Amino acid sequence: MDEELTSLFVNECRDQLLAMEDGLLCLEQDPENADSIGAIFRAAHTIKGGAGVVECQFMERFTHKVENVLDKLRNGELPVSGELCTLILECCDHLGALLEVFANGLPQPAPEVQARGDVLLNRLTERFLLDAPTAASEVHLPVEHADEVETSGGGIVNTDAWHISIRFGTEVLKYGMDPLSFLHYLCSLGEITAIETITDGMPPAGLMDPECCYLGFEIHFQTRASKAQIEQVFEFVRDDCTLHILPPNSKIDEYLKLIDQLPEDSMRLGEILVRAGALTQSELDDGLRAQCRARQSADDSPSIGRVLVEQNVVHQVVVEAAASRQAAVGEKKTVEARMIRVHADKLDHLIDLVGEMVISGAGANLLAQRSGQSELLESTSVLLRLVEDIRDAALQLRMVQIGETFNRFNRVVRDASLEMGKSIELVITGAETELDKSVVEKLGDPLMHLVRNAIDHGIEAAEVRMARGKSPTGTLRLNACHDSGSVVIEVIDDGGGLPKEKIRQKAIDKGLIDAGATLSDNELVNLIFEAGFSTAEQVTNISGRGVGMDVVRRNIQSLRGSINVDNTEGQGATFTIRLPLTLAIIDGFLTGVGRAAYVVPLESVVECIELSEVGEKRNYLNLRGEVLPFLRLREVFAIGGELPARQNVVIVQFAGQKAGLVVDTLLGEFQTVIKPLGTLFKHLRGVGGATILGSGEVALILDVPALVKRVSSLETLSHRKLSPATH
Amino acid sequence: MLKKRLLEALITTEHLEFDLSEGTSMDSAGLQLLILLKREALAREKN
Repeated sequence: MDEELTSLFVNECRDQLLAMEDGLLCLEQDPENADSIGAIFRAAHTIKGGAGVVECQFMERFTHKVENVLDKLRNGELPVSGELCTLILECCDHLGALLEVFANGLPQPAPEVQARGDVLLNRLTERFLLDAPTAASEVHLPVEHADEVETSGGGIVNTDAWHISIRFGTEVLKYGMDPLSFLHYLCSLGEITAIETITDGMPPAGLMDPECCYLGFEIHFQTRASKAQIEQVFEFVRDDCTLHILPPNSKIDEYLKLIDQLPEDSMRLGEILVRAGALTQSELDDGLRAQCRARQSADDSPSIGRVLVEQNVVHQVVVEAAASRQAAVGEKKTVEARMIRVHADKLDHLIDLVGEMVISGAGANLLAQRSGQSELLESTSVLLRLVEDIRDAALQLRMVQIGETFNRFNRVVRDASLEMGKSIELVITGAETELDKSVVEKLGDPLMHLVRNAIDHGIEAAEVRMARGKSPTGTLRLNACHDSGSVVIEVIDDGGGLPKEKIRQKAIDKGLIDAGATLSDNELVNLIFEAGFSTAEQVTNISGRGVGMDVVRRNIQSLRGSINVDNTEGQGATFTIRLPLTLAIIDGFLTGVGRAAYVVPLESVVECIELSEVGEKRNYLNLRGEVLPFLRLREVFAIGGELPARQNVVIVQFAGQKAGLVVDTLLGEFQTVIKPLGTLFKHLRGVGGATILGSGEVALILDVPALVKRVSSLETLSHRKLSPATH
Repeated sequence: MLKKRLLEALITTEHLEFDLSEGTSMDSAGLQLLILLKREALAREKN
């Protein structure tokens, strides 16, 4: 099997399974949504087709059965129900498992996987394919009472019955065909609810030839048959009559729906209409001939849509729907043609190379500066600017929207809230926010834990909520936005919030704090991120295993991010995750302390000032009337040596808090390729990574969030020393 | 032939009645003849 084809199928199939899942979740919320049914069906159909192409019979067989049920759903033969959605969702999960089997190159699924699939198929068959409660059979066709039929010769019908307008040719009787026998045959397809015989074509008695036919009929006809089937009734007389078959209003909606559900193939307008059943092939042939004639007789060539509408064989609205479908498919194909799938490894390699280029560029620039040649300096500065642009463009390639990750939680919230017996609405905002693919990939697990925790511990049961004067339906929000070079992701629930007293007690029991410790509300609730902390009284499947929040924090920190919780007891909790936009290359601000160089991420630098005379012991300064705490990097990193005559303060900001970092020299902006620190330096506080300077020396990248936190905790500590606790 | 006979019958009488109770079926040719006759009767103000 072609490896590339297999990989393409696996990726495509994953996308389609997500589309199926999204469609099912939408359908469950809005059972009338034909778009969702169409999307689910199309996704299943694509999976089945793809499985056939890559000769994955076990997937093809399974999807085929699922597709049968979906087909019934699409045709209105099955009502949308929670049970059906749940079962199809389980089938999606199973398809995911089968896909993994295929992706791992195994010829068949393991017996237990196979057995699970068989159980699902049996349930599908028993519940929905054998004695399915056919929605359509329960709904009686609205029988049109016998309205007076007017001679129209093919006008548009406004009733809910088919309108058949037929004028037989004068020669039909001579050919041995009796018009009345066609009407009898028509009755085998349905019921004629009204009929008017038309004899406008009959000449005066003297000229009337009894062997010629002068008859025509205007018929109201109730049937479930298609237009093509009705037309087939008149097949033998088709060339010797004028026939117009106009669909009922309800049928027009069906055509519109079918047009929308057609596979996304490049089709001509006429083909779309024939595929949807709004037009028969012979009507289309007639229309094309008429278009050809019109083209020959005039310079202006009418569109086939206009010709068909003028011939009264199809409604304007149906033609418009087909035209817009055609345009949409064309547009999508054009967009798809502009897209290209690239293996992530290739992108990673490119980013690595760009990183090396940035370092080499810095080296060249340094040499140019040392040489003092203005032309060389100019040339390297242009080169540096270009390298910067290439860096940004390369990083942009790896940017993906967070929406896809967020959307996965629709299913999680649905399943978990069903399991917990709670009513929870998930609201997603900022789904278009972009961040590095490598960050997104590692974000799934921490987010999953936060969401499950919110469902399990945060949002209360409906009766509790009502007793507290809240809506019985809880709301869980996932929000993402960009904020000063970081991505902020929030998980917000309107549940009961974190119980501060319980947390305090638990922390004391676990020995995390002393019984008499004085902690701010913020410090108290953030204790939940300590290892082994869990206040759940009952361990459930959703969360509460007590291994969660510390792992969440560790995962976020490994992404150079931070997490904190904002809590209002009784009103809900907001977990805020801050992450860097990328993990590869950043704009940095280079500083020097002694002989060492440190890089501060530029996005967190607010301004730089000179450190005026402050006492050795003081760790704050007056910044335009504002108290600014600072850290001396010499002290933080234990750097000895002579103090320079002049020291500088780099003022940084993180999560709304400002702090100063005292350095010796300010060396300016610097493109920083982040090199991770080895495991040996894992526990190093205040350093987020390392980079290589143009000179080949190593500079440490400062972990601003950690340093700001350190400053603020020192500040709080000194504050407490000044104002001792009263209890 | 039938057309001629029926039209002659219409001309010669004021009131023309067909007894089709013995007939079990009728084809389109018969139907259009009856329609023709009805039209002629109305034109001649007969019934």
